[in-house]
Order: sequence, then C-alpha cells, then structure tokens
Amino acid sequence: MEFITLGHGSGGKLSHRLISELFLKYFQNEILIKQDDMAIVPGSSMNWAISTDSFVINPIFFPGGNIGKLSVCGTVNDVAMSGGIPLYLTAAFIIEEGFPLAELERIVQSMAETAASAGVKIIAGDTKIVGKGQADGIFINTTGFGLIPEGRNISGRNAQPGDVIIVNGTLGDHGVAVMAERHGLEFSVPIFSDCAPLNEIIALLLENVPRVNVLRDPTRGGLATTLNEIAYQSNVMIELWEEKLPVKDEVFSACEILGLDPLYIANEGKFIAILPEEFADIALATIKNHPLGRDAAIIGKVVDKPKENSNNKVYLKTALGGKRILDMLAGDQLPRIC
Amino acid sequence: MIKRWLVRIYGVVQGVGFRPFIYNLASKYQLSGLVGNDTQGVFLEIEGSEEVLNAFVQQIPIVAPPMAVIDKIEIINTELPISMQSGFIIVKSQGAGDKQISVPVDTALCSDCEKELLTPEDRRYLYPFINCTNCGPRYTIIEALPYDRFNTTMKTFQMCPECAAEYNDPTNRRFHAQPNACWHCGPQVSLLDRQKNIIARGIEAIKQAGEFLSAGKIIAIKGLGGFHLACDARNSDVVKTLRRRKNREEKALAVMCKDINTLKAIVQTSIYSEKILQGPEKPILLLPKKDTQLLADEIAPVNPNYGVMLPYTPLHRVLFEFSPPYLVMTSANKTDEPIEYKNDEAVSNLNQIADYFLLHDREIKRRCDDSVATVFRDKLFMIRRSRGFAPLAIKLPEEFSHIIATGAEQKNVIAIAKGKDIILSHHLGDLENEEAYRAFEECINDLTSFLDLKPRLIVHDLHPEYLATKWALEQPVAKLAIQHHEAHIGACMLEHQLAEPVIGIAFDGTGYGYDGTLWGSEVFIGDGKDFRRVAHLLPIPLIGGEKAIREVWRLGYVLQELAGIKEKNANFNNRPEISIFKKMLSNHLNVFLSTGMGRLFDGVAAILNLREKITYDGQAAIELENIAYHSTKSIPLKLDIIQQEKKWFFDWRPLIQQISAYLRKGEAISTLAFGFHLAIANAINEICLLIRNQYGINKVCLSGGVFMNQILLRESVSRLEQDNFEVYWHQTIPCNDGGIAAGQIYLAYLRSEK
Ligand SMILES: [Fe+3]
Ligand SMILES: [Mg+2]
Ligand SMILES: [Zn+2]
Ligand SMILES: [Zn+2]
Repeated sequence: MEFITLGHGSGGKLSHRLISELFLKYFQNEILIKQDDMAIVPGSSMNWAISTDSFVINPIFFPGGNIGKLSVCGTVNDVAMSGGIPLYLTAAFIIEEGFPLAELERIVQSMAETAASAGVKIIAGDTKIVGKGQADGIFINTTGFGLIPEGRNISGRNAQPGDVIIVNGTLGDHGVAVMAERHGLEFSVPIFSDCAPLNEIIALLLENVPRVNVLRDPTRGGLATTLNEIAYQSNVMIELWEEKLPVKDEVFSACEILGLDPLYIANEGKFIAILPEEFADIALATIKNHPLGRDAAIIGKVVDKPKENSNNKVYLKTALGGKRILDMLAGDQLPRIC
Repeated sequence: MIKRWLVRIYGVVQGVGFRPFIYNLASKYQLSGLVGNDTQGVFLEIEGSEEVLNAFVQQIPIVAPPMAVIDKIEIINTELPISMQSGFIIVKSQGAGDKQISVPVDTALCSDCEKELLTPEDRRYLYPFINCTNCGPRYTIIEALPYDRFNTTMKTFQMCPECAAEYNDPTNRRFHAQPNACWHCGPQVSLLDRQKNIIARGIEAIKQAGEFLSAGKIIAIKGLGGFHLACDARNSDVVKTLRRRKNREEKALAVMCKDINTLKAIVQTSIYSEKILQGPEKPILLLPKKDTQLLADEIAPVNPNYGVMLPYTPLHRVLFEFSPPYLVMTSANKTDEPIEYKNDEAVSNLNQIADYFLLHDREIKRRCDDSVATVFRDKLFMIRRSRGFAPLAIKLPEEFSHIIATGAEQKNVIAIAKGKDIILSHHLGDLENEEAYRAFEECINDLTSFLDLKPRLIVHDLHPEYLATKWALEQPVAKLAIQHHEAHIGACMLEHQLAEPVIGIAFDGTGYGYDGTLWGSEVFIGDGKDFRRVAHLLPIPLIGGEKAIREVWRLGYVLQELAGIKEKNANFNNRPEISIFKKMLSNHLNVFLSTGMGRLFDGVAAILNLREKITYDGQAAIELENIAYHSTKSIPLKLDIIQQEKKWFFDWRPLIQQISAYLRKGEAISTLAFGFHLAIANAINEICLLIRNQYGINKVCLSGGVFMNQILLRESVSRLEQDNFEVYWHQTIPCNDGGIAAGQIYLAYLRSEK
C-alpha cells in the first residue's frame, strides 16, 4: 500500500507525480491541463487569471514576514506570473483552538497591509476553527483573481532557444530565513525572508519590454526546480551561469554550513523572466530600476531543444568551466557520492 | 575419407585478423574451402580427410591471433556435399540475422608494427597511425557494426593502391585491417599553438612536440580515446605549472615511459606486471616506487606508487624518439569534466592549460579513458576498466538477453546482457556532469544498436536521486532495482562465477539502503538471489549531507562527539559551525545517517589531522593508507563487534576513543593509521568467524570501493585465509562503482525466473 509522504509536498518529482497521476487524471480539462501556476479563464473582453494556494508554515512568524503576508504575496505573485493584473483575493482560515487572538490580529493586519501595497482587495473569506491538535496553529488559503490585458501570452511553455533568463534578486533568502527561525540557528549576519508582492515590478517589466515569454516565481523547490518545470513544459535545455547567480553572502555561508544548495531553496519575492535576447538590456534595466530588482541579473539562457529521450534539461556552468546537471530532486538533497 | 564440414566460431573473431589466419592455416593443412564473417561470428567450410579436418579444428584455438577470444567452435555439419574445389577462399561478409558478434576493442601497437615503425627503410617508418589486424583503434572509431572501414571514422580516408593491395591480400597481415593507412593516404598529425596556428605537420610536428616537451612545455596530445596533457615528468617546474593550470593540486599523475627498461628504473615490477604492461591492453598500472630521484617529487607526493604505462599508440611511440623518456600523461580536461576528445573543443577548452596541441585528423567517435589497475597477488586488480578492456564481454553461465543495467552515479559504467555475454561499457564518469551524462545516454544508444538489443528489463540502483536511476525509471519497459552494496557483492560473485551462499563484505562509501538511510559497511549472507544484512557499522550522521563527505572534518568531529570525547582534535574547536552542527544533529536538519565504512576512514583521517577537506574522490582514505605505509610498529586498536537481536554491529566508539587517547599521548600518526587498518581487517575476520559458526558459510567476497585500499585488502585476505576461508576479491571488474552495473546484471540474472 502506498501512503502520502512529506515528499509529496516537497514540490519535487513526487509532487509532480501526484498532480499528473492523480489530480489531473480526475480533474482533466482544457484550462487545468496547461499546468501553469494559475488558470487562465476567458472573460467577456479580457481573460481572468485565477490562482489558489494554501499556506502552512512553521514558524508562523519569521524574519521578514509571517504566514499572513506570505499568503497574500504567494497568490498575488502567481496571478502576476501570467501577466495578469491582480485585483481580488479571497481568504480562508483554518485555526487551531487555543491560537492567541493577538497573533491572529497581527497576521490579519499584515495581510491587509500587503494587499493594500499590492493594490488588491480581499473580497470574500471563511473561517473554520478545529480542535486542539487537529491543525498546527493556523492554515490560510487564498485565491487570487486578476485580469490579463489583451495580447499577453506568457506561459511556462513559451521558452525559446536563445532566450535569456533574468532573476530579479538574490536566491534562497526566504527558505534559509525560515529554516534558521524554525531551528533556532544563529548565523553571524541575520537572514530575512524576501517575501514581497511582485505585481508592480512585473507590470513595469511588461510595459517596457515588447516580449516576455515566461514568468515564474521560484518558490518551493527553488530556482532549479522551477527551471526544470519550464524546461520540461517548453521542451528546451537551460544553461545557468554559476558566476552570475545572485546569492547574498550570509545566505551563501549559511548554506555552506547547512550543506544545502541555494538553487533548491524557496524564494517568496523572486521571479524569473525568460525573454528574447534582444530585449535583455531593457528588461534588466527596468527590473533594476525597481526596489525589488536591485540585485537582478541575467543568469543564463535557453540553449537548445534536448536530444530525443534525453532527461537532462537544466545544467549549471560552474565557475571552473564544468557543466553540472541540476535535475529535479525526488526528495531531499540526499548525498549521491559513493 | 574426404569430408566437407561446416564449422562456426563464436566470440571476438572479427576485426582481429581471423579470416586470413584461417586462410593461412587451411593452406598449411592443404584443405580447400571457404571462410566468411556473418553476424554471428565466423563460419567456415573445410574439405579434406577427416583426420586432417579434426587436427585443423583442434589447432585453431591454439594458434589463433592474439586479439581473438574464442568462445566456442561448433561443428555444425560433417556431411556437406563435397565440391572438389581447389584452394581456399575468403568470402564476403554477410549481413542479416541475429547479431551475436561482439564489439571489437582498441588494442595497443603490436610488436610487428612497432618493428616496421622503427625501420627506416619501411614505407611506414615513423608513421604514427600504423596498425594491422592485431592492433590499432577499434571501439573508439566505430560508428556502426559490422566492423568495416565505412562504418568507422576512417571512412573519410581513401586507401592508396599500396594500402589497398595489403587490405585485399588474404596472406597479408593487414588483410581487412579496417584502419589500414600510411603516410600517403592516412590520417596526419599537426602541431598547433594557442592561437590555433599550425606550426608544423607530419613527422616535423612530432619532432617539434618532443623538443617542446624537453624544453618544459605542456602539450595536449590527441591519443586513442581522447586527449592527454603531457609534460616532462622529470621537470618539477613544469609539473607544478601543470597542476596549477589544471587545478589538480594533489592527485597523483600518470607517467608514460619510453620502454620497459625506462619504466623499470622507477618502479618495482614482476614478471606478471611486465606482461600486463606490455600486453595488448597496456593499462596504467600502479606499482611501487623505486628509491630514485628520476622523477619530479610533484608527480605522486606521499604516494608509495607511481601510475605507469607504456606507449600504446604508434603516435606515442614515435613521440618518444624525440621527447624525454618520462612523460606525464594525464587526461586532458577541465576540473571534474570528462576527457576532451574533439579537436575544436580541446583547443578552446585547454587553451589556458596547454602551450601547444598535437592533433590529428582521425576523429574519435567516443572518448575512452586509460584503464587503471594494480596488481594484487599476481592478478590484475582493476580500478578503472576502460581503454583496451571495454567493451569486452564477461560470460554468464546461461542465456540472459536484452537487459540494460544503468550502474551508479559516479564512475559510471553501464552494462548490457545479450546471449551469454555481459558487455561492460567504457568508463563514462560522474553523471552529474552534463557531458558525462550525455555520454551515458549515447553509450546506451550505441551499445543497444550495435548489439541489436531490444531491452526487456532495465536494472538500476535503489538510490532515487541517481541520474542513472531516474533515466531508468523513465523507460517504458520493466524495471528492477538492485541495492547498491548487493550489486557490489554481485560483481565479485560474477567475477568468480559464484551462485552459492557467500559472506559478502561490502565496505564502501555511501549507497542507498532499503531503509532509506545510506549504507556502506554491509555484511550480507546469501546466494545473490537473496541477501540478508547481518552486520554493519553503527550509523554515522553526515552533518550537511554531501558536505560531510567533502569536508571530512565534519566526520571527524561527529565521530569524536558521539564517542563522548571531551578533548577533541584541536582543529575542531572554536569553529563557528559547531553550535549549528549541534542543532542540526538534534533537529535532524539536513543530517543523513550513514553506515559507510568509507566515512569511518574519512573521519579517522580528519581526527589524525591528515585532511580537513578533500579535493578528489576518496582522498582522505587514500592519504590515510599512504601514511600507514610509513608505520614502524603496531599498536592494538580494536573495532568492537556487538550483538543485538541476531544482528551484529561494528561499534566504532571505543576505537575512536583509543585513537583519540593515543593521539593525545603523541603517538605517531603513521602508527595510528596502520593500527586502524589492522583493526578493520581484524573486524572483518572476526565477523566472518561469527557468521561461519552460526551459518556454516565459508566463502567470503570482498567488495566495495574501500577495498581499493591495498593494506586493508592484503591484511583481510591473509587473515581470512589463515582461518581457512575461501576468499574472493575483484580482478577485472572494479570493486568500486565502476563494477556496479556488472553486479546489477548478475543479480538480476540470479533473481530471474529460470
Ligand atoms: Fe559504491
Ligand atoms: Mg499556487
Ligand atoms: Zn600491428
Ligand atoms: Zn596508404
């Protein structure tokens, strides 16, 4: 008998198998099949982008944010990654009996602030209280709705050989900040989550750049996992340049100690844009001009169609000139060295 | 009584001069008839008196050409109609049918060709691509089978009339020598500088290269299966420069010696090792250094051995006419990358490393690294099985067809089963590397198409993150997972054709176990169909996963911490990481449990201050072995064996306490290192005695990468033999992960429904 494991929630191979072999099998339809992070639904004049996410995080409060801020950013960002302009959110809470009201208020307050700064309204909600031990503090589900201006065609399936890959800032901040808080790890320089709504910077990018093929936020599973998804959806190979990858010194050295690869660590205020090389400069300049894009960099390119039957899709050109495969992990960063 | 027989010969019988050999032998016996190649091997019709036919057939295996491997001679029919034809003919190759032929292997320059090569009157005098049916490139130039010139990268060279005449003359030793060539019609060499200017061609290029080498330059040389970086092995400055440019600070460098006498001046040889060094495969052999100052100290610091080989292509042989007698010949690559094998890529990628490039225009179809071996008890002990050995078949007792085994993650080699053959590929490298991974996929395609394989089963490792496993899982055929250390023991059992119950000692680095932890000190009992894990180390936590394998001081720290040692190695104190390590340990944050014996070696090396971080695979354990050779006395160290619920555990905590105490008392590191080796060998002996007492098994297989350690191998084997165990160790299949695919196939075979 097979059971759900934590690995099914890791965002890696098991999660993908669960989605394709179970959910898609039963929920099959022309909208869902596209497998982007949001659904695009035809409207009367413009299309709707709709995305939903549940937020479960330990600890609930962490440097740089909390579960409330995260639940707004996560969904706003998913909608924005379709090129959509996020307008409305719904919010549903599952709260464990005994949860401090003051903490709930802090969470709700920061949801409101984040929604206001992102320019979205929270228009519907739900609250369920469950008995002690039946939930871990608080779980939040948000669903976001956005309108997609006509002519935008942004999807994980659009990456083309020759495109450049841009990221708007440093990698791994959120995952390491949360991990440090959860385990009480004291690093010499404190690390903060990058949790932030990206709709404004995305809107600027799309205004200034004539063509953007792919937008995606590298959350769970990190940059490597997200690029593998895109490479798979677009059937291309992707090359990353180690020397160009922006990683904060403190995150890098924390990862060194922990033995983790920042490329597989979650971000909550980062996006990857994949676009034709001719627009690389204007895109980078636009992103860098926004406060959330100061550390932006061109980190690689879409190189080619993979050989038939080849599994290898994403690799890293190392500082020493080697090429290391960055595959989608089946689970943890389990040692492979014999 | 005159008869006409139909005879078939199976094995490695094509591309090795077999038909002219039969032709000449038949002429000697005055038989008439014919000989030809088809997809199953060689067939012949021979006509003559029955006694002579019998004598002829019996003579075949005795005088067969050196490269031929005869699996079987079958007399299919003794009553063919008599034709009274006169003379003997060679008929054209026949194509169709089930492919049973094997893929021919690259073979080093033979003595006949070498003689011609060095004869000034010969038309191939100093021609660097001389070859014959007994020698020359094969596997590295084949694009398709059957093995004919137009299916190799030699197809672009049109033979001149003289070469063509040899090629078509059944009495000539170049009859159907597919890469046959000469100065007029064959591949040519040229010497390039870093700006890609051709500065010399032909013999002048080789001569200049030799002079540059004498002058302390580094030259990238295109050989048989890829490029080498060469420099004068006697010149410290250039060796240091090479190490710096190649980013290879510490690992020993291989040395090619002009001839056997030159070689014998620097290493201790035996009749056996000299035979291997001069044989058709010409691997790199690791042999004990002699006490001389001939080579630069930087070649193999602290190492008791040199890795030596003799020139195996005519190009190398000619080069030595002009170059220093000892050349470093290290595979030409950027750090951790596979060896370069294409002219353009080599020239651009090695631009910062080599001063000059000695190229030729015969394309290498697939890269093939030098094979590396040592000699243990007058048997080959393979470390990397590649050039000259791949893709030679290993035999199974029965048919087991259409199987692929994808091997391990590092030192990857794949295996294919077809008929009774297990074909091991060449060394493909670490699959995490993009080029190596591509070679892995290409190799599977090549071997399946060469051997007309229709895969019905794919065997793979249990490790969910191995790229070889992931590849296997994507394939639309049946799959079978084999646990890594069971596969190691399987490889050893295959080597000795064992299928009865054995004690399998798999001492290794880390491999995925059935319980999701990382194994690697497994003691199994079983017959290969089934294994029971009866003993292993108490688990060692890897703090930070793979990081702990690279930064071995983490292992040293954790061993001392868990052994309750207050006064740890001074180098572990006051490190900022320690407080985080403690939390990682208590919260299981990126900590993986490992029973890998290799990790115990690594950790002890760190405790003995030999090494904090490694720069190449297995470095800490290798240095622990190397220092142990300097031990002048023995001290009693002991790895405890404890029993719990019918299972034994090697409890390393008392051993770590002993080592730490001796170290504090100022005991010599070499003595402690040697004592540690003996403690492990004693523990192997002790666990085998316990198992024999309880289960009555007397055969012991030693496998896993840890047994590349020659002190451990030697001491373990001699102890076990003293207690009358039948001991088996590796010979032509590596005990490291290069042997995993072979073990996977063999265990799949033993476990299949028969
Ligand atoms: Fe292994
Ligand atoms: Mg989502
Ligand atoms: Zn020859
Ligand atoms: Zn010729």
